[in-house]
Amino acid sequence: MLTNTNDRITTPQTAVAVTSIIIGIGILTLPRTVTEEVGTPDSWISVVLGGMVVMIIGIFMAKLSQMFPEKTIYEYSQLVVGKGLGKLFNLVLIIYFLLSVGLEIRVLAEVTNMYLLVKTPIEVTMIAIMSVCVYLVVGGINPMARLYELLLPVTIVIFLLVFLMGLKIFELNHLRPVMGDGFLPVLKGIQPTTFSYTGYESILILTAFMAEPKKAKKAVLIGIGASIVFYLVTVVMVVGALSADGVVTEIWPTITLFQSFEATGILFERYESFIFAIWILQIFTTFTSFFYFAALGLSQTSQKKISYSIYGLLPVIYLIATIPTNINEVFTLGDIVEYIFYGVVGITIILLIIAHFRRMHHESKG
Amino acid sequence: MNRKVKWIQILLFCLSYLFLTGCWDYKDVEDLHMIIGQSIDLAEPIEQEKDMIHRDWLQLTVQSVKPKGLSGQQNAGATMQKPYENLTSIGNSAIQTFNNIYSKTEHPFLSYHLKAVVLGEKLVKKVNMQKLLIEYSRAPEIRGSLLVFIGKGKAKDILEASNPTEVPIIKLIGLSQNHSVSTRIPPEMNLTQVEAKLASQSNLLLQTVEAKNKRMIIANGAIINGKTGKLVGFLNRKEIEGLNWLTSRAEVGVVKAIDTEKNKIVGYYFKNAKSKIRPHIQGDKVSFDVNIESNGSLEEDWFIPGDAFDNKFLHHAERLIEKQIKYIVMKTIHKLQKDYHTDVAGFGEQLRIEYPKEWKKMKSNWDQHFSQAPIKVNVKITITDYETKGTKMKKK
Repeated sequence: MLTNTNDRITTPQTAVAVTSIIIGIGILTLPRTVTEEVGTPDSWISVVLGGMVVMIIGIFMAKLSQMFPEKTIYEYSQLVVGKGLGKLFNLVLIIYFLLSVGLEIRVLAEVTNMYLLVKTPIEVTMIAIMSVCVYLVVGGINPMARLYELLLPVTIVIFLLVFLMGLKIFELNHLRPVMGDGFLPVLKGIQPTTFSYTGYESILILTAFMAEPKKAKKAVLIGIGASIVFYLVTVVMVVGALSADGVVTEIWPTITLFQSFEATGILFERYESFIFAIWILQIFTTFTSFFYFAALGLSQTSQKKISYSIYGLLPVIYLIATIPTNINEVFTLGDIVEYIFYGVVGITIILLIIAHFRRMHHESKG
Repeated sequence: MNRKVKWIQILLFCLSYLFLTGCWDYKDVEDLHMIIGQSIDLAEPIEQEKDMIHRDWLQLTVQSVKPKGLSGQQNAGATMQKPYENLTSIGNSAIQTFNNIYSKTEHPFLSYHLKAVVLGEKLVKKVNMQKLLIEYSRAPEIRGSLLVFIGKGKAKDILEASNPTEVPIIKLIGLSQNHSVSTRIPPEMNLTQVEAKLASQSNLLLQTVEAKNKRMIIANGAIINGKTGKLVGFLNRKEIEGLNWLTSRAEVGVVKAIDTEKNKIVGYYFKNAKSKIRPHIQGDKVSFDVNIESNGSLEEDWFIPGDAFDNKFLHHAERLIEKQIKYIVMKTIHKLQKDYHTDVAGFGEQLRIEYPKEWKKMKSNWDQHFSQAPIKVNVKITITDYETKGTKMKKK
């Protein structure tokens, strides 16, 4: 075995991990990306519907993983479709994870450079954050899950508190009329929403580490459910403050919201610094997991030690993060990741169907 | 082996000091120019650059606070130092003009605390506001909570209108908050709110500030057309009062009504005010009903004895106040419909919410539709109490 058998995570830890991995760049950009497509104030409905679509896919993924106890997708993909095809699929998945990590480190560095460390070169930020990332990933899945468990409650409390203060500039009229243009705009918004929920595919790997793999479905449902609530609050507050027409003009609409009010009379006047701190933690949880999944995939596919692939992948990620030359290209990279992700979902469903017809469920049990 | 590790550790420990020095780029707070407000006016073109005469020239004034002047630790004997400094520059792009100011001061500027920007009346009549504000909304260090004002006359004068011990912009921000206690002041608008309105091409009302004999006054409201981003005109105090009743933006405030027959005054202090604008569509004609409801207390009356223990008297006062509110609201509506042909009272917004399909058809020339729409106003006032005094003298 390449993975440590003591590396077991509990069901709540899995749910928390799923939520933490889902919440990432989406907090800052989702209100814009979804409203761009919807065009009406109904984007919040798309967020809920998109979340439900994602829940169904999440259940499929959990079901697939449950067929192969203690095996990650990298291992059982080769069982289902054979060595060659399985390895090819693993490669797609690894590339997807690597591009995601690169993208997120870049976005993190861009935002940090824009708002927090104006004079620090963006490369320094990236290298610093990658070092912390490696430190965590080398420890394996257990420390990661524990860290996420610590960070998520803090995130939720601080975000909700600051959003509450944002009620000052919230206008209900910005969210009305509900479905004034009918249901079609809402449908259009589902596709960009589902991309903000990426991260739930981690259940394909996390199930292998669960102490009770039978509860994988429950964990993924709770994990996605929590992120639906989180994203719903974000979109409602941001669109309510900036209006549907205003949201689409901002690069980071959520930051704009937090910069648009001052709370006088409480300890601090400006709360965006808290949000940055929390957001960095949350995006950190996302890319550390993705980084771990990519490294794990490489090691399980090539049968080499995982530490080799962790250190080996670092320069690759750094290169990916430095490819985009401006912010528009960063978003283009995001689009590319999105398309690969749809491929991943497609392949997973094909795997599930094949595994189902080959009755692998019983085979692995017997 | 162990010794070697120890030495490496000590070496690393010492080396870490190289990276722990946090003060390499520090600046004394006394030397910083913290920009607190700016104003932009329309300026005369500069002589040498006549070739660009067709462009609009901006006069940018930057107000920065001097920490020394604010600290209050000045010696009694020393000459009074103004707590702020204004620097002016002329150019035709906002960012270039701002940069020109560096030729006039040796201190570095900090924009993190920019709190208000005052746009000159003449400038906004000529130039789309979006062009002027984009620089502020792009800069990451400038927050969306930046308040936007229209300056009557020259905006630069406003940055100079205060006592020598006060910072004008801080005074301006204090004044802008007063709409929560006075119905005659429009609500303040910050950069994000202004940009949201302009992005959706809806008209907006900005607080107008004026420097009268070096005293700062917030009284009027400036109407900005959402499509052109330009200034349409001003509403005076009374029209603002009517508008605040229409939009139920007023939180608390007073209404003065006059009994014209007996020539007596009634003062009403309201604790809440609600208005509902209901659009109606018949064919392609749109009309509105406005229902205003409020309750509060009788604060002042010039009737002798004016027995508030008697409900008849209270009802009489209620009718007077209703009449007065209806009058000021109708006057505002008349001004908006007939003089300015601009809807800033949110009639269009209610139509958008209740009749989204019809709104789409009318959206492009909504202001025309609005100017011709019949509007009915109903006011219902309830005097719930008369505070601590019932009457002025005993009934005979």
